[in-house]
Amino acid sequence: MLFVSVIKFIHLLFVVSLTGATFYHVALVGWKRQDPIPAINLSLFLLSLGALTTGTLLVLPKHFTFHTPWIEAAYLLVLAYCLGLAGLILFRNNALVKKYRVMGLLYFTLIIVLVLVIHDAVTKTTFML
Amino acid sequence: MTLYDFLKILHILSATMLLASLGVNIHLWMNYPRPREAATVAYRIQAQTFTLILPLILVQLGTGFTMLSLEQNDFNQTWIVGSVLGFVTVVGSWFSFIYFLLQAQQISTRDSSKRFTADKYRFFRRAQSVMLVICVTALLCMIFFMTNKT
Repeated sequence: MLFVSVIKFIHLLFVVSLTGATFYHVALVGWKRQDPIPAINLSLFLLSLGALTTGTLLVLPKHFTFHTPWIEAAYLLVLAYCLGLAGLILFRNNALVKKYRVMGLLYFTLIIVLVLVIHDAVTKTTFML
Repeated sequence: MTLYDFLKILHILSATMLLASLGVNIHLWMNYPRPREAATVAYRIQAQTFTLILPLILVQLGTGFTMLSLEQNDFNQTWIVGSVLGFVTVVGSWFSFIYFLLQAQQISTRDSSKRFTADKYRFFRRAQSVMLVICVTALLCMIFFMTNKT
């Protein structure tokens, strides 16, 4: 039981840090500062990986299955988040992506994805499936 | 989606923003340790505290207590008492940190004796570190209590 409590605590820390760091990203774009963005992109990847791992460890002890609709949706949304982030890293030198408004909009989309995951986890239902 | 769910999502999102702004401020404080940078750091941390951290603290309090009353929880439960105590400690230690930060800023601009100023600045810097350690520890305990409701 203590193991599950600790994993849940770590999972929450990962999720909160991931969402917070993405908010900070949007703020950085808003302040027109691009220097720290590559380092934060890497930490976003690591945080999403941590959240995914701890979340997976929680599924069975919390009496859910991997076919629970909101859990399937969460996996899909995290995958979409990682793909979006990878796209932003790969095309970071693209002239369109370098525009602050476009970049801000893209990071804001990532926040929306995370908010959807949080919504699904809180309500235990999903809009997606 | 019920009112409770909406408040819970709002509570989580405001907590993420609060943690992010605390993290950014701590990062700023750690990166600029020298006395001549104290004024700029103090100004930026103070500004963020009053424009972002304080409103988010109020949102946390409002949504937290509304959720408790909606769930009709007994306020004597360990996790609620622990969370409230943790919250008070976090807020208290953060404002103590700001106080020591402002004190350090004042001595770095006011005092003339260099030796005396350096000693005092070191003392206030240590006091700030202690306050931040208390703040982060209480924050982690609070999150643990709230996550597991035990």
